[in-house]
Amino acid sequence: MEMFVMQLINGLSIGSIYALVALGYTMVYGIVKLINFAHGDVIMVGAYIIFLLVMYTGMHFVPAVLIAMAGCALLGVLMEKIAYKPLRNASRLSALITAIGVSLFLQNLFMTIFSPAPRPFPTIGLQGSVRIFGNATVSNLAIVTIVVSLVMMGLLQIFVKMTKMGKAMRAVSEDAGAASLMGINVNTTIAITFAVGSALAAVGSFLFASTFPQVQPFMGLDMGLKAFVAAVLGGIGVIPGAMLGGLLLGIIEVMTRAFIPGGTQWSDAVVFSLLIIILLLKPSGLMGKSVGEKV
Amino acid sequence: MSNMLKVENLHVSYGAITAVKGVSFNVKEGEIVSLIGANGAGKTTVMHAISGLLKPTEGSVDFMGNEISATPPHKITARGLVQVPEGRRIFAKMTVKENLSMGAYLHKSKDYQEIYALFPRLYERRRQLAGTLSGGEQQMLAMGRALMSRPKMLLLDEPSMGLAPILVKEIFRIIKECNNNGVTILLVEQNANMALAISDRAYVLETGLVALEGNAEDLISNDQVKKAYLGA
Repeated sequence: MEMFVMQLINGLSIGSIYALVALGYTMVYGIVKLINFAHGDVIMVGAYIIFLLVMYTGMHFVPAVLIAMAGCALLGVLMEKIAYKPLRNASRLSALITAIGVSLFLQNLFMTIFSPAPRPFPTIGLQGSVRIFGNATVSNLAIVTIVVSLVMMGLLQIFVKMTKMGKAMRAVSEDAGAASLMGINVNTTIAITFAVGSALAAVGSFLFASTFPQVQPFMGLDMGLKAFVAAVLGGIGVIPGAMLGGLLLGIIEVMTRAFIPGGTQWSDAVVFSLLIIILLLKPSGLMGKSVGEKV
Repeated sequence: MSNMLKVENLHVSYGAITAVKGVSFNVKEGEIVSLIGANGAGKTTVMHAISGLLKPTEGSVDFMGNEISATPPHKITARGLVQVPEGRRIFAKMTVKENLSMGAYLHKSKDYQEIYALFPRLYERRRQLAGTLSGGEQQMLAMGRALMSRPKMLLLDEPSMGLAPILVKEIFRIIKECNNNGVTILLVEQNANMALAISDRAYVLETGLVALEGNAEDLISNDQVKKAYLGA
């Protein structure tokens, strides 16, 4: 029982990082119908920004993360402007291949600058753990990860539901043409979506690099893939779906490792098998639904 | 009365296909003007070229003294020329009220009361998702949403499409009411009878060209129009 609760919290912790990153995939897909495969590499860039600031300027983590959020937001906007916007009316396949190109570009750029060698990510002084009951303990880092992620997701929900820009985002994702007839600047709205998704990824990158304390140019690959799976699992384009998908994925992964003999090697296989099964049963993802529009 | 909208020699192409081949017409302040014609005559294409959703390949669109044929749609809306698109295109996953608030996107203050007074059904359903509305209610929402932007001129594309006759009557009554409140109207319709009944003037489009134009009353009694569009 203690073991189970501990692993559940670990799963929630990893899962909430997946969820943060999955949000970027799902928001961008929702608005421009593009799987932004370079989104995983935004995490890598964010992690390097924090790493460099903390290691070489001795900056505190909090401002470093805020700067990384701004830096990643800018990267997201530039990516969209330079690589995706010119292809907005091209076939989806062209845009998808471009996204893979952007991803490879970022990986190789960082490999050239920083070498492929992994570097230790500075610890944030949360090595301790707290006892929750009996012998069950949870690391402080896991708790911080869960809390920070939940707060970010809550802020995102408020942004999307309550603010004018958030509503404009939803309007553009439903019908960009009709939204433009309302006076909404579609290009600006798309740029802001990339910025918000990338800023969330920067937070994810901080939590991820703190949990697995190293940075290297290809660290976004695995993370990006998992988060993409989480977004599809929850229903791509649906914001609460990405949150649910991420949390589920994290829990399943951790539980497989903990409770299935030899599960460490099997965890990815289990995760992806589950994805296949869920998509066979519910092709639009757990929370994805095709809203019937009356004509 | 001065020209509010002046379209001259408008050409619009979809790739190699030219859908509109030199259409000219004008709408004066305070008028209701209709474009009527069969499917594929180019009516919706003309509308999209005016609202900025399509770029004309040739010709000019002048709105209140400004050339707008190269202006993006959101800036045309900001000038007070607002399109209610064919098929309503309401935001199905947003509530009725959120849809209306999107209409007032460019304005700081939002006055829902005026719209609810015009469309009491929208008030009853303000918290419902727009996708759950009936076709007639969706048309009302599309019009209410456009009116929230306080337009000087409305472009209405097939407002009667797919609606029961009683609702068509209601929609046309509201169009007339908007016009009485000072909104100039350009109306595209296949339902030529209804359109001509409330219009001051009309243009008949045929395969991308203006085939006929005149006062609405004259066109109603025109034999050619009767035969082709009024089912007489």
